[in-house]
Amino acid sequence: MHRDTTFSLIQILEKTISPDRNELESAEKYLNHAAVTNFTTFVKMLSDVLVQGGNSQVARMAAGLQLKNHLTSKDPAMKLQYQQKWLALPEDVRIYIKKNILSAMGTENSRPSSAAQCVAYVAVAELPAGQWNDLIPFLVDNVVNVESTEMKKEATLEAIGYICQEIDAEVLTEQSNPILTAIIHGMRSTEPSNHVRLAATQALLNSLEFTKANFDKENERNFIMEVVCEATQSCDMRINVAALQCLVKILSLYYQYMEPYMGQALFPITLEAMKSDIDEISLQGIEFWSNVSDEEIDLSIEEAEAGDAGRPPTRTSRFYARGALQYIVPVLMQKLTKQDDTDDELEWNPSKAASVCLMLLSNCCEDEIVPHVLPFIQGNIKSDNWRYREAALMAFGSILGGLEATTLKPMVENAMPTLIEAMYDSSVAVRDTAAWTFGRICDMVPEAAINENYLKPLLESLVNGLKAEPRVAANVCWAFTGLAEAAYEAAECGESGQPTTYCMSTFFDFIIHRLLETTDRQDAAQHNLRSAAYEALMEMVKNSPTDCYVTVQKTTMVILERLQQVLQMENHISSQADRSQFNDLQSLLCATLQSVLRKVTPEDAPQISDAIMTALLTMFAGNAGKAGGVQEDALMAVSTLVEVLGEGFLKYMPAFKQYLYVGLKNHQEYQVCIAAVGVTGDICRSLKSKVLPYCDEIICLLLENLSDPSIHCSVKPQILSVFGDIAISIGPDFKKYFDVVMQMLLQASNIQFAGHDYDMLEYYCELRESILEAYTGIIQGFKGAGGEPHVPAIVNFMVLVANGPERTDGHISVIAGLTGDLCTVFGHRVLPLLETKPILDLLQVARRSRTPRTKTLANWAAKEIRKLKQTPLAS
Amino acid sequence: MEQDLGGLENALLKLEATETSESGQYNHQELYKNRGKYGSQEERRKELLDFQKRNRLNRMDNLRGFMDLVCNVEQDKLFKPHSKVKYRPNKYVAGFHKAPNSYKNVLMLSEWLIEKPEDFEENWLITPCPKSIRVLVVAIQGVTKCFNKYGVFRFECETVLPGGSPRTGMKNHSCMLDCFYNKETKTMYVLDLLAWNAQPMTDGETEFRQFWMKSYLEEIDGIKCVSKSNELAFKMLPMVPCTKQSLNMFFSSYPPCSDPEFPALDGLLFYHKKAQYFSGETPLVGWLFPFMVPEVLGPDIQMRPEYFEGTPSDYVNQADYIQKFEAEANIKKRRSRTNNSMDTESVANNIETQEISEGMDSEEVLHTDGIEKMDAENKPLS
Repeated sequence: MHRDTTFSLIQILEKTISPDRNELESAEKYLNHAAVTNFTTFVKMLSDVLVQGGNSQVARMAAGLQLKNHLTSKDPAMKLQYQQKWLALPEDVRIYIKKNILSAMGTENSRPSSAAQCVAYVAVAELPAGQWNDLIPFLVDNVVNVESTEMKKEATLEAIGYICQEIDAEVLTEQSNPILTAIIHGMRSTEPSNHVRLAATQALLNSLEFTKANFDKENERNFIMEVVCEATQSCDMRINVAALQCLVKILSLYYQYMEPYMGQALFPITLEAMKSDIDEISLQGIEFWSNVSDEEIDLSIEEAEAGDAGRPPTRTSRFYARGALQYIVPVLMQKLTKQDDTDDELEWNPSKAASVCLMLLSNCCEDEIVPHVLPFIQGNIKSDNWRYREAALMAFGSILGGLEATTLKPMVENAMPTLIEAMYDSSVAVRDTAAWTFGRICDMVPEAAINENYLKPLLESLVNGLKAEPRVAANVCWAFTGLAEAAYEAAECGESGQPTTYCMSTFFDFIIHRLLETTDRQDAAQHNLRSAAYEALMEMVKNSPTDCYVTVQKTTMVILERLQQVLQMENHISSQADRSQFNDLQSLLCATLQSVLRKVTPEDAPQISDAIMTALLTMFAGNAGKAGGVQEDALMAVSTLVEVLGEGFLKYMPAFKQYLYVGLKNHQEYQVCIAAVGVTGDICRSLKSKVLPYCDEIICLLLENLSDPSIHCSVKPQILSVFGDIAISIGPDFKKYFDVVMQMLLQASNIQFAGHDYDMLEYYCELRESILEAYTGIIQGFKGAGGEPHVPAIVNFMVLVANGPERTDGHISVIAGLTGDLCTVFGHRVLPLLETKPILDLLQVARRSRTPRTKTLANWAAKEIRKLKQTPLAS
Repeated sequence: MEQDLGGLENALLKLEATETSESGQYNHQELYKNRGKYGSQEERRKELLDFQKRNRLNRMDNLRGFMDLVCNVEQDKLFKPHSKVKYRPNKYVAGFHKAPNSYKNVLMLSEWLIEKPEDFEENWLITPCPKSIRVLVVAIQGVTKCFNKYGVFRFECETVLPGGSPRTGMKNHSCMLDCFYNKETKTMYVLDLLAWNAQPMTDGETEFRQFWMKSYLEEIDGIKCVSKSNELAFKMLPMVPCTKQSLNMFFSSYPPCSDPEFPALDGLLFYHKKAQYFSGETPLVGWLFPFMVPEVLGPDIQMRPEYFEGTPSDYVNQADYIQKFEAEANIKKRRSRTNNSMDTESVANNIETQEISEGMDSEEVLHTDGIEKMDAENKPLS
């Protein structure tokens, strides 16, 4: 019986790669069914299929893949579930499977080993739980044992690499010595197999985070560095690249230790790598210096901050980038001239990497880079060869970011005529880069871009560029995005905080017109031109002064019309490609609608809101409204409408509510759900007490979401915050929801952060902030009319968060605010609870915060406490 | 079979472990040209969440009183030099795009009083409004600053208000007043008190605020005259109950204010005694032009004939007047924006020249039209 099932399982597994859709689907169905009905047997059998050398390669790999899919997932919450499910299996089952997958390592003929992945993900589940303690010694032995085959060593090193990458560094810190021993053993230049050496080098790359203790010891560090540097000289390109990757990462992690190696080894190795004709190697060389720049920029910020605070910096920059400028900049400029002819926008190559590296070097070394770059620019900007013209332009655009204003402004102003000329160059690459450079100039030296001497010819060249090749036009759109902001910020501010006019006013209508045309270009799907043009449109509208309002009105009507037209096309869509373009367009139109709506005057808004709401409702009702992206953007547009209309949104509630509820129920597409939760909050804040009739249903849906374990975790904090919005809005009427919401909040307060996963930590912090926000809303909304019995629990939670090592500035500020609120609402009764060391200490910290709001809240809360202490109890 | 294997291998390669290392190979790709700028939906998402979060926090802070706002606005300025970071991250970083705090929407504004409230005699107070600019006066950290209704900074000077001059600019000395400003006489006609010495007063009822305002201001020497240390004169506007007797008294002199320098009378404000200070328009503050008084409040109030001098020649009744007034106000607003309506056809080529000069004087122009009400035209949308 068992053999039969195993046999059919093998057949099914082989079908998981069938080109026949039906076979594929039925195979998947079978596997899912097997996993649901008898998980234990299923996973055991998978491990059987994997380990048996007689099975086909496909079956074994597919078995490994299936098993691995039941051990981990990209979604952190799902991953946790899988891990818990695994840990809940009987011990003998787990031992059986582990034995199988360990023995399978090294018996496979395919690379990479799927057994290695299974071992790794079981390890990721078990090691943090303190189990499978003999695994690491076993793996280490696999590698160092002279008896081990090449395949076995390789698979084992792969497994080590995956484990190192997936697991929290702290879990492995204690075992870093044996792990590192195995890795270095595999990496040595004496290792005969390049496969083994490569797997070892990749494992090292993943283990660098937790081998700090080894890097701290000089002799061990020397040894590691020696092995890595040796590996960069391997004649196997893949090893070479992996070793360079290690150097890049080591530099970021252990910058302070690099001094003895820099001049002797790192600098010559990476300089040579940069020069290499092999792109992969050259890219790593460039990446190394980009990382040096990044690191030294961070260090200089740290030093400045330390200086502000009057303390010595913990780490200091050794200015390697500055020292290396004269050697690396010429290489980078050479690389700039090796542009890719094919214009593949996604392709990454040394020429593009060189531009980014120059950007970072300029940010890091500031004016010092100029003498190394300027001669190249001047010598080549008028070259007959487009490659040199483009490279010169690219070098110019790249270094703008770090220069001092006094250097930058004259330099750019001098270059303006040449740059404008470049917009008419015969080479498309040159025009592309020229347009991009204008975008950079708008960001870095806006005053040069809107200089009255050049503005008109510049705008002419840009508008002209909108009709050029999609790649040029797309860059022109980004230039308009920057220009809009630059012109707006330079304008004189008027009565209502908005400038009445600006330097582009006379051209505004024309530019908008051209941008609208651009969005309609037949080839607008290429190079993201359509999105870029809509984006530019949005920025132009957002940054428009009052005298351009007529055009804003017109644009609003155009967008609305387009939206209506698009909605009518709904029925004519046949292909999948059409459908996706159609959906993208709806999303973009919704986004543009948001930007025009924010600009529309309060008198005009009610005049168009009916048409807008009708269009949005049609969209929700149509097929496109079922696509998550569209639904999300439409909900976001509703948010803006609510913001603009305020209480005036009330009249749309009867028609809109069903779609709001649909959004809130969309547990699958969590972005939609978040948007719906967001609109709910907006509606509560705008409608205030008038939201009451809808609260029953809303609260019910929100609670359902909270108790659904499968819902994406990022929805939950948003929901908790909205409870606060509701409480403030409906005040005493919140009473009927109070108990159940409080229960949820108290439950959420008890969630403890266990792992070391950074994403989870971030989520956990957000959750705590939201809980505190919800408490704030409830306390403010009730104004003392209820909730007092829960105050001790609330304060306990405040103290818990205040003492937490993960405490953020957000936590500090919301606790400070809540402290003040509790004082004003409950008076003397809460004083003994609040006048405790943790809270008072927190207020002290908050007063020194860099965030003004936190500081203010702390001062206010402290004052409220003081006030209570000064007034006698009787009053 | 080879092909199949390739397919499976691809599937295997797409596992997380290998995937992250692939994409993590070069960290700086998104910095190239405009690459990082794509994926605007993510950006929009963050922007909106940021918006919503800010709205939420503002809402909470509003309930916490105005002193915090003062501190925030002032500290924003204090903090600016520090927050200037040379290297701006290319990626989105929360907090980089925060809108500054402002004094926009702080003042309490009136609605038209279209009928006599039931509790008019017991619970309402009347006060005269001069034809002057409505301003928010904020004295803190040794300087007195004035902002118009939109929160736009107008000017600063030295006054004897607490916190209003370097001499009194001690810690915790501050105040925030709601005033009418007469430029000619450099006089502030004080209407209301929002905060005094770091103590928000906005939670207090009208009577409470008026009482404290009177006692605070009268304690300060030299506050009523312009001098070197007090560049603005501060004078209290009379605010009296709306009992029949008191109203008759009020209207028996013109203007209804003992100050000889009192500028022309613009209109009358009615405050509910129990009203807390609320930002924006509220039905607990009413507005009337003097010539509307008999129509709305009853014909039995005795008023001097001067109160009717401003009656427009085409005056029919209050409803008709409000309608015309609002229409006119709308035109003015639109003209200053050079726009007509949302109808695309009619706006096509219709760009009017701007008649109203912009800048410092425009508000005076509006106000000599006798319209404190003008700015309250941002009616709630309904």
